[in-house]
Amino acid sequence: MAFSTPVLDSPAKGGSRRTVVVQTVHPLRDTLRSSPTRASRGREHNYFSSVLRRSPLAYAALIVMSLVVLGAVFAPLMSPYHKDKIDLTRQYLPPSLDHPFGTDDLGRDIFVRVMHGGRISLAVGFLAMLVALLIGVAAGGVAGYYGGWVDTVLMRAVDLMLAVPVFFVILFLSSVVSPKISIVAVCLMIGCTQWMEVARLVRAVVMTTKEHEFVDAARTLGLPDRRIIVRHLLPHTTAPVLVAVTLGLAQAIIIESGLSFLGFGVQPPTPSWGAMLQNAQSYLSDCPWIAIFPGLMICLTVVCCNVLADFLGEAMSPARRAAR
Amino acid sequence: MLRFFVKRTIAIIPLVLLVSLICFALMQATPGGPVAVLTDNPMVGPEDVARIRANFGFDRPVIVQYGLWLKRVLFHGDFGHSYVTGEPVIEMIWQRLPATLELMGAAFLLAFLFGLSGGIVAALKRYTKFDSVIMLVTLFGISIPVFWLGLMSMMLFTVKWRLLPSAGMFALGVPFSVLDHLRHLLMPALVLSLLFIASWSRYMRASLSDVLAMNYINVARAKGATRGSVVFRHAVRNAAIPVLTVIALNLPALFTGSIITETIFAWPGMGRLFYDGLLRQDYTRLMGIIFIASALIAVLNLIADTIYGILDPRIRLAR
Repeated sequence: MAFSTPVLDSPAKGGSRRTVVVQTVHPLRDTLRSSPTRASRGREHNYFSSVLRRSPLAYAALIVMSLVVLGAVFAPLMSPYHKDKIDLTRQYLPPSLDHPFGTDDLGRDIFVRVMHGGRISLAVGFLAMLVALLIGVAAGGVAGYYGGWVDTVLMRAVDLMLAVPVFFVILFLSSVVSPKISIVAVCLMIGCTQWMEVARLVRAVVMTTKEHEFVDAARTLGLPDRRIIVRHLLPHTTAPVLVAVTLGLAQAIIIESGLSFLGFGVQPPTPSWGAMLQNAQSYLSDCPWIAIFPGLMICLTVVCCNVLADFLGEAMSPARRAAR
Repeated sequence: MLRFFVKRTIAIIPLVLLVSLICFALMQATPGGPVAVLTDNPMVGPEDVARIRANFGFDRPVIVQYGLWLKRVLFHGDFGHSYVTGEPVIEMIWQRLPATLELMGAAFLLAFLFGLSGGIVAALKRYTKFDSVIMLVTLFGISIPVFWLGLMSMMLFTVKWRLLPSAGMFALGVPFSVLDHLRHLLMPALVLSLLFIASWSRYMRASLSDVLAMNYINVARAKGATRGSVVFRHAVRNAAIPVLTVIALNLPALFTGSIITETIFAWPGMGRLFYDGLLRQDYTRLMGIIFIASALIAVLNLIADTIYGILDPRIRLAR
């Protein structure tokens, strides 16, 4: 479970130092991990589910998000129609039992396309965040651990990226690459413009955490820097990073849909939620369902991501944990 | 204060240069270079392409071209001519900039007023029904993509209820009237501002709630200060500082939001100009707009920084 992460007992967060004591029991083992023991992991799990039960909004978001993901995974099984099947005898049909979301200008079933679109939009969102996560964690980890000029350079780069009109630049890039822009390229472009938040958070946590004794211990044991950063410092960043990544996922989905809506992201006939809205403006007056449903899916997904990020932030914040 | 201002001004110069250099390099890296559109044309022979490349100076190394481009921009304010229409790029931008600034300004004003006041009210009525309603509305506000919001509001206000016009800045064939112009402005500005109304009110609520829990607020209350004085003189002023950072960080987003909004509502601003340039691969125009946009954003950030420095002396003195 991603939830039961070592950071929950992070000494850096001002919580208990219990975990540090646990480590000193096995001082000579390389795996001097600051992670909780198996028993305490179980406790963490219970803690999360109990908090989740007390937060109906987060519970609902988790369920809706799971449904969206399931719909995307099992998209071909959701409807008897094929996503790209053009049927000119069934153009512009309003929502009905046959076509729950209606049909579009080419007579394609919007419901099945929305489900397939979920595959693309979610995949782009996740991949883009993976790229952002890799860059952000690497930059933040190195900047926080080494400090000095490395830190200055990397943080300047972050400031720079934050002040750039990113959407203009992405659009420019995709127009340079287009018309054959691949989905991977879209993910890369979005990922490369979303890593700054992660880098900042990771750097902040690494900077405070590296002052603890267990890092000195690891150094004394002669572990290489890379191993100290990856095994001993980065686990402490999990909570804030998880929150940032959940928010970033929402952001990536919005950016992808905006790009595709303007015609510079995922290319037709591949359905993504944004790409499906590309021509919707022309049909607003006569068949609004073409515009409504794909957009509704974007909203639902993004709302769920935002709610879950809020919830994770609350649930993982040590202050609130202590209060409960 | 002056030193702070000068330091921040100098800091933005490399940023703008770097962004333009990257865009310039990418433009050159496209397969076929900036004249790729021409090479696809069967009427244009290879010798013509070579001549055009020489005329535009594309046969020289990228860094030399960039130097020349930058020199023209900095010393003559000349961004070159559009590949498509032949007009000077700077004139095209100059014509469109006021419309974009107007839209952004209107959206900013709406977001500032409603966002901050919504956040203040929510913080004062924390954990009441009213607060939950605001939180729920703002949750959707931060989650709706701006283009879909544009489509939906157009569907309702223009198509269904016929209340507001859907495109352009003025009604055609009617003499100019301020009212008509405002009617055209209202929907794009609202659509563009909703995201910021929502996110700024959430930040304001969080920040003000934190401040209201502090001891000095209790002291002010104990001294017998009125509720209004405690909230506005003591709490809001301090709570606004972190919110202003968020607002400053959001300015680029406001600008990029205007590309999409302008495209949907046919608002003749820079965003629309940029989008047309993308469709026609008019690279000089795109370069010019990106350069102006990053300069504009840098200036907006600078203004925000300065206000921030005035509000909070600690920031000014620390640097």
